[in-house]
Amino acid sequence: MDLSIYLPVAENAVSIPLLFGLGGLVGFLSGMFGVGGGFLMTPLLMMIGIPPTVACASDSNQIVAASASGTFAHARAGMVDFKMGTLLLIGGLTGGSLGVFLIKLLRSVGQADVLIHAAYVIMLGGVGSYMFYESLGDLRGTRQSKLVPRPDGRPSIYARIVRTLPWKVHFPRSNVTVSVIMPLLLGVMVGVLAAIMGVGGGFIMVPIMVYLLRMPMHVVVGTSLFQILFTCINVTVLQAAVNHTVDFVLALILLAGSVIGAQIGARASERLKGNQLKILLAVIVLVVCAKMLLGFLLPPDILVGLKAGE
Amino acid sequence: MAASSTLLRSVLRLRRALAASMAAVAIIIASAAGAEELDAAGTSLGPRLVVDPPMVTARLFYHGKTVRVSGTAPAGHEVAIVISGKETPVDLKLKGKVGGLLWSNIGDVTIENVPSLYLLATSPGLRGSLGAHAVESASVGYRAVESKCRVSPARGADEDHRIFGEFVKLKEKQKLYGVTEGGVALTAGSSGDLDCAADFFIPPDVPVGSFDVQLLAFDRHRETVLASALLTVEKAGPAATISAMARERGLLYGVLSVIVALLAGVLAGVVFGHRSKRGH
Repeated sequence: MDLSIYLPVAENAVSIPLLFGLGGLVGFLSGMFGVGGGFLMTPLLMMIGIPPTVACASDSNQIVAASASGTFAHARAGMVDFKMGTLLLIGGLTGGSLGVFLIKLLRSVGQADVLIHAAYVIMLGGVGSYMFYESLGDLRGTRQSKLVPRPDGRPSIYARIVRTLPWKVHFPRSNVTVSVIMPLLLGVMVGVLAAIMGVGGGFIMVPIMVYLLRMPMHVVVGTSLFQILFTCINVTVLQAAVNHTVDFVLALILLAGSVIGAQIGARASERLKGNQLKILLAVIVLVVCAKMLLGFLLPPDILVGLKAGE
Repeated sequence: MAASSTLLRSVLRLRRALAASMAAVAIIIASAAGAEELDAAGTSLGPRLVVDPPMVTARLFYHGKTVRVSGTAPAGHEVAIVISGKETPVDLKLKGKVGGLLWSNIGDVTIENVPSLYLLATSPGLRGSLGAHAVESASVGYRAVESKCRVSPARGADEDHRIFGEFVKLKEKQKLYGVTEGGVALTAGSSGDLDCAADFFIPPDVPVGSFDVQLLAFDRHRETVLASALLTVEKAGPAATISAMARERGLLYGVLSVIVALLAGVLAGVVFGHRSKRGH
């Protein structure tokens, strides 16, 4: 029995169990680590024959469901910092718009693709390696907390800059006090990077919240999902209205899998320690980085590719 | 009643015989005139080519369809059947080595006038009977497609040829292009002609629209279009409704998609939440 379904906007037929399984897997990662999963799902959808633009847009639609499900689960456990999430979201949306213009500029200069991919690999490799090293040290008990002053007693340059910023606000859910400039600025930075790389930015936002905003890992996951939810609502509506590339049938099957996966992921997240979560996410980020690096080094089978939208 | 059906059968037989004669005459005339271009000698005898089914409908559980194309060709000829889509430009990214080490996109190129679908099947003896050179110079096959297309911006004949070759590999991977030598089965027909038939798989990612189906006959000197027909692929049922809404009412479609996703997410949260509470 053929369990394929025809996707009316993608104009292709794909196995229902395969889509459901992909949705479940990415939803699990989303619920567990607070990432949207677009950096995994979009290439996987393209691999099974979905046109790139439809893959991106429909993935955003399914992330709405997964992140709504995950946010709901984390909020119930009191693990969403809505105040911090809103500031990051405002910064992220502004940064996303800036990023769109920046990518246009880069493309006009030429070699933009090489620069973007190289930046992607360096960032993934750097963030993944740092998280892995740091979490491993924590798990072994060989690393001191970053909050502890340096041996000479002086705080780091980053800490000194952060302390000088005005408009400090306390965020009770995260139990941190920082200037509102920090989440807004970091949100803009992630938004720019996400727009350049064509991803939601969850896997960049999570390390930023952990290392630069010093938020506890469990609150980071819920807050990241809250922020991703609104980013993806915006992207889905825009993609549907402007590019007509949201495939509802595709999104529906993916989200059926992902909402269940997100709930299981959120449950698993509650049972793991923050450092265990970080090291698992670091491994996933490093695997994606290695895959991209191989794509750079190994010759492709076919030396042309369709431009997005073809 | 019986008399009228007998009359109808006689008319149909007469029509078939007439069409067969016309095909043969067309080839003879083309040969006599020394016509080299198929358009000059091409004769379209629609009823001689049957596409079954002539219309493929893509519903929600559609996963491609095998279409049988059958017709009749004069004895002593080799045949080819080709299904081709509208010629359009295709924008491509070229991949190459950057700095002698990294593989990446190195530029954009457009191939103009390439069919959206190109499926060719030939009779088993076509290459052997005509020789490789004749086949390669025929109006069917990738050489023929390449001769009509244009790479823009042009990069020199060799490079353009290489780009076209890579483009064909890409389309073959998508199953939108294919050449099957020996894909047309020939059998002796009742009137001394050849009955020919080929099965073509129309993959699910073929875009909706109409496609030309042509039956061509080859002898040692020339080729002739014996008949042509249309194959139509269209969406139907919920697939058509969703597709039309996505295209025509994008904003409403987007908002509805988001609402459904939000409801699904929250519903899953409520269901799992209750289960969780019972579990603990």
